[in-house]
Amino acid sequence: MPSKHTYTNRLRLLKYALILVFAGMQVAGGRVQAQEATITLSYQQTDSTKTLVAIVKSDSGLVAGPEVHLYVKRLFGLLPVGKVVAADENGEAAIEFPTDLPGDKDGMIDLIAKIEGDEKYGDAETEGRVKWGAFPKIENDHWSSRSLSASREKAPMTLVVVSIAIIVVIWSTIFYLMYQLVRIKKEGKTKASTT
Amino acid sequence: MENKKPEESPRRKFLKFGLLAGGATLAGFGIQQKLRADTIPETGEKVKVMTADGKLVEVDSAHIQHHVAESAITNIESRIGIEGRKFVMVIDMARCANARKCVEACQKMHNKRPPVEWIKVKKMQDSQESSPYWMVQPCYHCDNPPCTKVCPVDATFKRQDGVVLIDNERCIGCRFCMAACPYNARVFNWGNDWGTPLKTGTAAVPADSVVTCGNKGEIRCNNSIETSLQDKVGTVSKCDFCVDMARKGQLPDCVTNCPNGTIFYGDANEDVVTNGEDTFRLSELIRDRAGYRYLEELGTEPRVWYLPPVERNFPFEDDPVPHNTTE
Amino acid sequence: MLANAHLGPDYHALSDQEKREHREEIRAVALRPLRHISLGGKLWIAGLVLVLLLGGFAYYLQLKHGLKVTAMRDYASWGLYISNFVFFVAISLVGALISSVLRLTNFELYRPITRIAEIIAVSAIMFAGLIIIVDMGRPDRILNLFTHGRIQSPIVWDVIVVTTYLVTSVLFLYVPLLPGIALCRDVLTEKPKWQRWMYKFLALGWKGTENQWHIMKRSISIICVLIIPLAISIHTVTAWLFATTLRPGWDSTNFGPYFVAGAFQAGTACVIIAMFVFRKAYKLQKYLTEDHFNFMGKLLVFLCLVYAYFNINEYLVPAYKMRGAEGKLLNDLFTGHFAPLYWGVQIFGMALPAVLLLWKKARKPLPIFMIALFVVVAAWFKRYLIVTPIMLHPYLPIQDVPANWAVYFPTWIEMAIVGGSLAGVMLIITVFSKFFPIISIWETLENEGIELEELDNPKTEEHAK
Repeated sequence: MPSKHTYTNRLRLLKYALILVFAGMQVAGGRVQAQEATITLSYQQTDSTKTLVAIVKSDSGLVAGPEVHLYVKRLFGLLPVGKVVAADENGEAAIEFPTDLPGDKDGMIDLIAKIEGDEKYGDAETEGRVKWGAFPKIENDHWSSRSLSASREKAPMTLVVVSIAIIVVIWSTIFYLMYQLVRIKKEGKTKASTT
Repeated sequence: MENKKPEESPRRKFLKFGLLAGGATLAGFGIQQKLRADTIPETGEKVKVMTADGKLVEVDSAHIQHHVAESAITNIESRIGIEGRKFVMVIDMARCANARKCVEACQKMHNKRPPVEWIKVKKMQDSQESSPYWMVQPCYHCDNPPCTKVCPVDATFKRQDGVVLIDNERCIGCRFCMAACPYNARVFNWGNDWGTPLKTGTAAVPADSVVTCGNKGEIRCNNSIETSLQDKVGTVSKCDFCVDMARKGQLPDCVTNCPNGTIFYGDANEDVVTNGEDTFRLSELIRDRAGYRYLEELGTEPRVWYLPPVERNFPFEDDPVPHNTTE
Repeated sequence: MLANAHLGPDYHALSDQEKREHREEIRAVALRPLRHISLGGKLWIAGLVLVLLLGGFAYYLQLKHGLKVTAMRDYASWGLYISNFVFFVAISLVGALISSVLRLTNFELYRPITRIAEIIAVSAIMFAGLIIIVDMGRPDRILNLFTHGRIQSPIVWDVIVVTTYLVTSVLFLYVPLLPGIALCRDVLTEKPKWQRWMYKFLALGWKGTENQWHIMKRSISIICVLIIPLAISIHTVTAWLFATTLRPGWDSTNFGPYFVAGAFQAGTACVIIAMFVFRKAYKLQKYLTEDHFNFMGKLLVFLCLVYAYFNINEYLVPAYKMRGAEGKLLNDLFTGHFAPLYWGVQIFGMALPAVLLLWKKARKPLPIFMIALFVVVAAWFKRYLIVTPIMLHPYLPIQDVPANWAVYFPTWIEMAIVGGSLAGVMLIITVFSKFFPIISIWETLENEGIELEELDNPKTEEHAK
C-alpha cells in the first residue's frame, strides 16, 4: 500500500514538473517578444470616494489583462494601497483609494502604479501626484507647547511665575537680614566714635 | 563569506525591493549596510584616521564608515528634530523568537558592548497560567516623558519628531532620569572603560574631520547627539530610535537585522510602519491586531506599540544560555 | 509648667556680688572648651580627620575610575550616596524645630540647646550638598545647573532650596552668636593673632548697645518665621525627588510629610546625642540639665508616634492592596531579602524608643542617649531602605544582567566616602565648639531674668575680677 502511494505521488510530481517547464518556456518566449506597456493615471473623485483609474496602453492600443498594483511613496518604502485590479477590455483598472490616508503637509500624495512581471508586458510603472491625502494630524502638542517635560525655555508659565515669586520673597528677606547685620556693625562704630 | 549569504537573505530581498523601487538613497544604504559587515575585503589602500582618544592610526580604507554627512547635524538641529515626522515603532511579539539579532546589531551600530543594551529582549509572563513570550524593549520615546521632566539641565529632551535624545556633552550624571523612567530604558556609563571605545575599523573618524571636532557645540565629529556612537563616561545614554538613519530614510539596524521582521518602524504622520519587507498602515495594524502600549495606565504615552503574542510564528522556547553574565 | 520653668537660682534674690559671680560662672563654663582641649578631644578630632581623609582618598579613586568603583549599576542606579543625602537633609531640619518652633511656642527649655541644634543643621546641610556632588557622574559639569537649569526639575528645586536653607541656617547660627563672639573677642586675649582677628571681624563691632540688641532680636524673630517653611520645603522637595517618579514604592502622595516627620524624629535624636556628649565633655551639667533630657525624651516619643503614623500610611495601606510591582516590593521588605533590616529599623528605631521613653527612668541622660543612638542609626538605614529596594523592584523584570546588577551592596569606596561625610559633619560640630561657645550665654541668662544691659560690658567685668 505505501509503495503504491509513493509511486502515484512520483508520477504526479513528474507531471507537475513537465507542466512547469512548459509554462516556463512559454513565459520566457513571451518575454522575448514583450510589448512595452504604459500606464496613465486618471483621478476620479466623488464626495465619498476616491478612485484611481490606471489606463494601460501598448503600441497597439488599450490593453486588457495586466494587473495593476498601486503604491503610495512613504519615507521608508512603498505602502501598497487598494486592491490589485486587472485592466478591463478598455484598458482600465479602477482602484479604490482610501480616503483617510495622510498626505504631506499640503495634502499631496505621491502614487506609483505598477505592472509587476506580467507575462506579456513585463514591468511597467508610472508615478503620479494628487491632492488626495488627508491632512496629517501633526500631533506636536507635547513638543511645541509649554509643559513640564519641555525644555527650559518652555517651562509652564505658572511654574515660572510662582517659583520666581517665592525666590524673590525669601531672598529679599534674607538680604534684609544681612542688611540688619550691616546696621549692627554701624551701630557699634557710632557708639565707639561718640564715646 | 560565501556561507553567510543565506542568512542575509531577508535583507537582500529588501535591498532588491529598494532598488526596484528606484530609491537611490536606498541603494546607497544597501552599500553602506554591506560595508558594515564584519568580513570586508581589504582594498589595500591605507588611510590615516584619528581615534576618539586622539591616537592617529593607519587602517585599510575599506574599514572606514563615512559618518561625516550625518555629523553635519548641529546640536541645535538635533534638539529640534525632523519637521513633519513623528517616528513610531510597532513590535509584533507574535514574530519574536528571541534571536537577539536586534540587540547585537544595536550594540554594533552604537559601539556598545555587553552588558550594555539599548534594546532588550525580555521573557515576560503575565500570570502563572498564561504562556510566556518574548518582549523586545527599546526606549519608548514617550510623548509624556517622565525622564525629560526631571532632567535638571535639559540634557535629555523631547523633539518635534517624537524622539527623546540625550546630549551627553551636557549631562551631569545625576541619574534622575534613570530613576524616573519606569521602564529602565536608560543606561549609565559607569566608568571610563565602560562600553567599547570607538574601535578602529567600525567607526573610525576620518582624519580630515579632526578640525570640525574641535568646534565643540556646533559641529561634532562622528559622535553627535543624533548618531550617539560613543557615550561619555559618567553620563546617561539610551536607544535613540536611530534618528540619524531615519533622517536619510533608512531603517534602524534593529529593524533590518531582525530575521523574523518583528520590529516595524515608521512615521505616524504618514500612518505607515515597515519592517523592511512588509509595510502596513499603522492605524490598521493597531486596530486589527489589538495593538497596545506597555503600562498604558502610567500615562507616559509611549511611541512604541506592541502587537500581542497571539497566533505566534514560533512556539515559545526558553533561552538555554544566560546573557551578559559578566560586566 | 514645663514651658516656663526657670532654671538655676532665682536671679533677683541674689546680691550684686552673687549676680556677678553667677554671670562669671556661666562665662567660664561656656568658654572653658575654647581655652583647653583634653587628650580625648585631640584624639577625637584626629580620628575624625583621619576618617575624613580616607573618604577624600576614596573620592579621589572614584573620580579617577568613574562610578564603576561603586556597587551602583543600571538598576540600583542610586545607592548609599543618595540615602546619605536624604539622611543629612533630614537631620538638618532639627535646627528649625528646636531653634524656631520651640522658640516661637515659648518652650523656654530650648535656650541652651538651640546652638547645638543649629550647628548640626548647618554642618549636615553642607555635607548634604557635598554628597550630592559625590553622587554625580560628571561633577566637572556642575555649573550646567546654573547655565542650563530647568525650573521643571525637582533637582533644581532642591539646589535652590538647599542653598537657601544653608544661608538661612548660617544666619540663624550667626546672629544669636554675636554677643558670644564679642565675648571671645574681649576675653580670649591669649589666643593667636589670626583667631583674635577672626573674633573681631565676626563680632561686627558688637558692643551690646540697646539698638544692637533690638536689631538682633528682631532679626531672630524674622529668621524664626522664615526658617519653618524653608525647612519643611527642603525635605519635602527631597521627598519629591522620589515621589515625582512613577516607580512603585516612591509613587506616593504621602512622601512629603512622611519625610518631614522622619526628619524631625531623627534630628531630635541627633540633638540628644550631641547634648549628652557636650554635657560630658565640656562639663555643662549645670546648663544642660536632666530636665532638658526629660523634655527631649518626651518630644522624641511624640515624634516617634507621628512618624509611626506616617509609616502606617506609607506601608500598611499599600500592603492592604498588594498591587503588582509594589506588592512584590512590600513582600520583599516584610518577609524577604530586606526583612531583617526593615523590621530592625522599624522596631529599634521607632516602636521601641517610643515605648521605652514613656518611663521617666529612660529619659535620664545616659539611657536616652543610648536610645537616641539607636534612633539615629535606624534613621540612616531607613533612608537606605527608602532608596535602594525600590530601585531593585522595577516594573519590568531584571533579566540578562550580570549577577551584581540585580543586587546592591555598597563597596568600601562608597562606605569610606559616606563615613568621611559623617565624620565631616561631626568634625565641623566639634571644631565649631572649640572656637565658639556651644551654649548661648545670653539666652540662658535671659531666661533667668537677667537684664541684657547687665551683660553690657564683659570686658570691664573681666578686668574688675
